Amino acid sequence: MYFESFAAFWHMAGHGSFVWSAYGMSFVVLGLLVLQPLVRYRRELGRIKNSAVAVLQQNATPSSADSAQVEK
Amino acid sequence: MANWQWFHRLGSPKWLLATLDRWLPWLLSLGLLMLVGALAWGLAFVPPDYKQGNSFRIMYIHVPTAVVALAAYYAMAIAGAVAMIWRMKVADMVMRAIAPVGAALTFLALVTGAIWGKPTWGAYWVWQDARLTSMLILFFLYLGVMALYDAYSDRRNGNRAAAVVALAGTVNIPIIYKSVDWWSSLHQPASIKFTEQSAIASEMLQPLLLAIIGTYFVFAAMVILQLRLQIVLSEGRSNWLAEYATNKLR
Repeated sequence: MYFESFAAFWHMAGHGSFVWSAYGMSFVVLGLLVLQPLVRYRRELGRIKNSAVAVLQQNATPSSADSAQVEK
Repeated sequence: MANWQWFHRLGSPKWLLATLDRWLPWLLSLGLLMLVGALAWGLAFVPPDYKQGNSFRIMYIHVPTAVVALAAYYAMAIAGAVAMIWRMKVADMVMRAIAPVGAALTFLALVTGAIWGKPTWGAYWVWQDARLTSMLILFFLYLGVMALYDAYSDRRNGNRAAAVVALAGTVNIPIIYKSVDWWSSLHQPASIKFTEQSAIASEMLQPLLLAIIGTYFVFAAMVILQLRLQIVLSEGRSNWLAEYATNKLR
């Protein structure tokens, strides 16, 4: 550790506000780059799954619906 | 005979999605580990610069984002060229996947550079500076590619227009590299040199190199995240994807 105390680390001899705002900004942007596609991907998969289930239910004729019930 | 099977497999979105799922956790965790380690090292353990004081610590995030933003542009342009020449669907998806990540990294390089400029040069931004201006043009090129591929009702036209802009924009990359040598600039010249002794103390350089490698890994993971999304968006109606989605969300 180069700094003698946490306060010195935070203050960085007057450059703290520059250093920490640059790093804070970077973590926000990098975090969004991970979270945004992850959330959209999950949502899209859910939509695809739901429509696949809907198609299956639509295709099921009344007689086969009964057998599907039994399978469950 | 060379085995070209891998190249044909690359064209299969189903195979690709399964492969990306396998690679993602490793690339992301390894990259984050290296990046966080390198940044902690650079922030807390390296002594301050004799001229710039502690503000130089911004370098450990500024330089990696800038380096990877430039490399990403080449990768995006190559993907665009492959898509145009071989009509490869997956290459179009790769181009679309890289653009937002490259744009965000360029944005970070610009913002962290501006913040670093204030205590070092006395100004956040200087319009006469070629390095800053050419980097801003890179940001607009990324935004242009992103805007173009959504600007056409026919997806193929959007892909082609985006690929043309991506390829034409590669002219800007060597200009960014050389701008600090060709024009008088406030921006300092490159300190890392491949052919001679680097103009930076090795105790400052080591965490920087680690941060650059870590950023490449994190970048790869971010592109994979976008690429998975692109595959799911464009293959929405296929049966294998419905099966994949049902297995994933069980």
